[in-house]
Amino acid sequence: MNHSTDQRLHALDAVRGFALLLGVAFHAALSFMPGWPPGIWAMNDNSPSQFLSDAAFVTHIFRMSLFFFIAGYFGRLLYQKLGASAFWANRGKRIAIPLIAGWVVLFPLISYIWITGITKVFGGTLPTMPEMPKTPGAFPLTHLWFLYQLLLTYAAFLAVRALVVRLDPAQKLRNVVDRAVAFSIRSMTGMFVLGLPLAAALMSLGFWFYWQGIPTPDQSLIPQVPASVGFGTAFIFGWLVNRSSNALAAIAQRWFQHLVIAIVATGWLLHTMHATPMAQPGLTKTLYALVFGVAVWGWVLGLTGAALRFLYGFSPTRRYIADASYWIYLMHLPVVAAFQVWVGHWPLHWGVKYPFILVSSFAILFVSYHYLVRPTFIGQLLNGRKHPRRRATMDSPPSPASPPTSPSPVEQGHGGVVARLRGITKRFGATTALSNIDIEVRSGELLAVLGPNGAGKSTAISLWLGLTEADEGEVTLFGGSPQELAQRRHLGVMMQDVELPKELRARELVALARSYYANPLGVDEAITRAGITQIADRPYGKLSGGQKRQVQFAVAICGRPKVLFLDEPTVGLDVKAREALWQSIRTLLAEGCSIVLTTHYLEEAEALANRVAVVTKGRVIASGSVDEMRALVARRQVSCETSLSADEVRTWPGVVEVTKESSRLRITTTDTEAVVRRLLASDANLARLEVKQAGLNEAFNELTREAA
Amino acid sequence: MNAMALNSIEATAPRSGLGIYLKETQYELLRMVRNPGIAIPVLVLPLGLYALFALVIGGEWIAKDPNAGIFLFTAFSLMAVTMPAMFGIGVSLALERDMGLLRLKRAQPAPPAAWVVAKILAGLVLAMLAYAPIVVLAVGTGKLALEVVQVIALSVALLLGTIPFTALGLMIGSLASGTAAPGWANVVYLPGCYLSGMFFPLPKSMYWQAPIWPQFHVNQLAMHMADITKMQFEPLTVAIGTMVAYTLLFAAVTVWRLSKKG
Repeated sequence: MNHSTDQRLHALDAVRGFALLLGVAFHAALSFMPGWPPGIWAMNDNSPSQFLSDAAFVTHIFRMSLFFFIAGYFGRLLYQKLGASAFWANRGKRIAIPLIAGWVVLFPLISYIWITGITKVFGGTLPTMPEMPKTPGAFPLTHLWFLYQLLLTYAAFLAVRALVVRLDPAQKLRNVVDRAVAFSIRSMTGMFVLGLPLAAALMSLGFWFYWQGIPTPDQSLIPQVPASVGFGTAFIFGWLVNRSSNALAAIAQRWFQHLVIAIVATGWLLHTMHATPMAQPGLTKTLYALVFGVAVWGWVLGLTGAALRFLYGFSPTRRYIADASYWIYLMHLPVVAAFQVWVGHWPLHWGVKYPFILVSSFAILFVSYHYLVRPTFIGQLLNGRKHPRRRATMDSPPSPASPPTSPSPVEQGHGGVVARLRGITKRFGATTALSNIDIEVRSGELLAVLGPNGAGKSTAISLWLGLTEADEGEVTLFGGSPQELAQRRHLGVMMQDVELPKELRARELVALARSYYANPLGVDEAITRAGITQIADRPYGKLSGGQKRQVQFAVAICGRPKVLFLDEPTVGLDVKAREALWQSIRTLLAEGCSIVLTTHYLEEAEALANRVAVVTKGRVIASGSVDEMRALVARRQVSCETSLSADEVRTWPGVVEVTKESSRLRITTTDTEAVVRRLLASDANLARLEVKQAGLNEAFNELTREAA
Repeated sequence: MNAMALNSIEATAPRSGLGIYLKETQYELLRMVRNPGIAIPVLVLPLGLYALFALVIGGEWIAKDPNAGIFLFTAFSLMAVTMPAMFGIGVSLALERDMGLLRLKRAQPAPPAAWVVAKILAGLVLAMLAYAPIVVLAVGTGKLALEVVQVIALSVALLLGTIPFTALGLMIGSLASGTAAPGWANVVYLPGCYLSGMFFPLPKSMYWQAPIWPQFHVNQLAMHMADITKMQFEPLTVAIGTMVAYTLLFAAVTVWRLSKKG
């Protein structure tokens, strides 16, 4: 599994936790439903809320489908890793035991609270409770039904999978499916197609209250059709998304569009439901079922995509919450219901009571998780890992599915690689800014990236800074992703075309920037090192261009960075300021800081660099030591008006390149004297002879032609 | 990777994330206050207009009808608390996008939300700075005939009213360029001040369009919270619902735009 997939798993873990915690909020709302007959839930609150009814409906559209979708994704991951028998052993521990043990513990508690609540609702006398329906398989699964349904789904799916593997030995069918999965997401057709089986199952329901969405299969051990079809589709698609190499990226890309359609569809569902809450046979019911399917998949793909887009990477807080969510969802129902029963007759508005129930329940559940579960065998059972109590705070170790990979810079020995671009391609529309480039920065060195304007230097820096994502290839900073804060805490940066806030003084700008770092320089020290003591108390807006660059340099170095990115640092500096800046750079190098410097001044690279990489038109066309690069530009350019042909001159020794512009020849040569002597000897009428040092641009152009 | 390595990264993390947010907010506020283009209109204009209308022009009107005092106070207070969001937060965001400062912030190891949280908090502080002298003046000169509890409720409502305007400011800042943002902010903001019935009572024929403007709903929230029944024109839930909906809409556009363009 590569690094970026690892990063994405954190986002999916967060989504799973979100879906489960949303369930708590959903159940906490159910005592406030307007118009629900007494006895249908543990409590009927005296302050019902249409808003909570609508909000609960909206979350109920997608939360379980989202859970099964993620379960499918992680299901394949686990199956690939463990194989069939270990997979079942693992699922037995994580799913079957919590189902059975949880039911044994929770069912009596839930029953007790329900009886207490319903007695309260009916004014102190318990009415005759309806019997469990006398149908085969009837069983009160309670909210743990989802574990039972998940086990059934695993079994059914793996049986089908075995059949497919037998029928499609060459993977032809599966390759087609993989491509179709990614296409269906990118083209947005998936959200319309995936809901169709569910819509068909819902249409066939005899009694269907629109509000309930997919009827909850919590009353029977016999699988129910709509739930099996709806959640089964979600599970299968999750599994297929894990198979397809491009699907996750497509989901991340289309998050916004999916969410917009989900919101529009949901708006229509709410509107229709308010008119007629109970489905009547006819066009509306059909349309409702179809739109419901679209809403389910809009939310599932939109929320997953948003998480991939914004919750990329490891966060200790999210990790902790995701770990806690399983326990919390298992245990929440009696806690939430007990609060609902308690507050049900208080003469307060639901706007006070509902948050009270939610906050109190979460407090109890998180505390119980922290002390009873996380450091004990229960945590081991539910999440596969026990956390020793003394470190049982937010800095949690990895979960089974998602090991965070962030090697510390401390681990990088001298000469190790601190930053790397590997096989990177980056396009902006039709322009390819970088084309399959590899560059690495080693510990303690200064790498100068040379190239003309528009060569792709700044794009390369942007990738290392985590500002843009590559279309292909891998970007690493201290072995991790630059998008992670933990990696960026060790970098300093001076960008091109950046203006700092003009109202703030240099001293204040440094003070603000250093607050981001763990072990920064003192404000005065950073100011002295950057040579801006004289101007430290003047507003940034009042400084000259060169002085502004010096302040930006102070901001870049104030965090004692382990790697420093300087994008054209000396543009606009006078000679004295440039020398001073070079001196500061040398001091940083002597202290072991690695530096990436982009420039189009060759002498800057000569003065400072250990290594040079020449980039032109998005490709690294040469790299090596400064001496090697110097040889490259030791060439001269000779031009003259002559009747000699370019083809002839090209064959002469010492001639690298010849171009002809009307009567004028331009000759690039490594042996100027010999070529000039021979030119004069061969053409007596030769005129307007010029010899000049080949600039970097000429060297680049020439190199690119060679590379092409 | 092993736990040791993770710990070593954790151990080098800055001690307090809260410190960064506070520092960022402090400097953001400093910038707004030091910028005369923001500070003067935001801090002086609403106060000056209130003094002019409530003390000089409308003095007699208020003496006859205490509700007029409440009306004028709400109008200029609403202006005071919402202007920082539009002209402080929105315009500065647009300028910073132009300046490349946003790119720099994203590259620096600041928490990703720190700058936006700082902007919102600084806007809120500036709103309070703009509002405080008005409320002192109104109560001190007896132009606001309300109980203390009502004044507090009204103040809370007005400060809550900054939320949709903050989102609107951020949306404008994320869409417009630095030079165009002040113009757009005026185009979006000023008509609402007049057409929402905030500055003067509207004729009946114009009632239909008042709910378009966020100002109207913030005003209504204030009237409900302060329990001024004579000036309630829509239910409390509609006022809150519309404010929430506007906030979500503006925030969604902002997030979409920033994630796309940066």
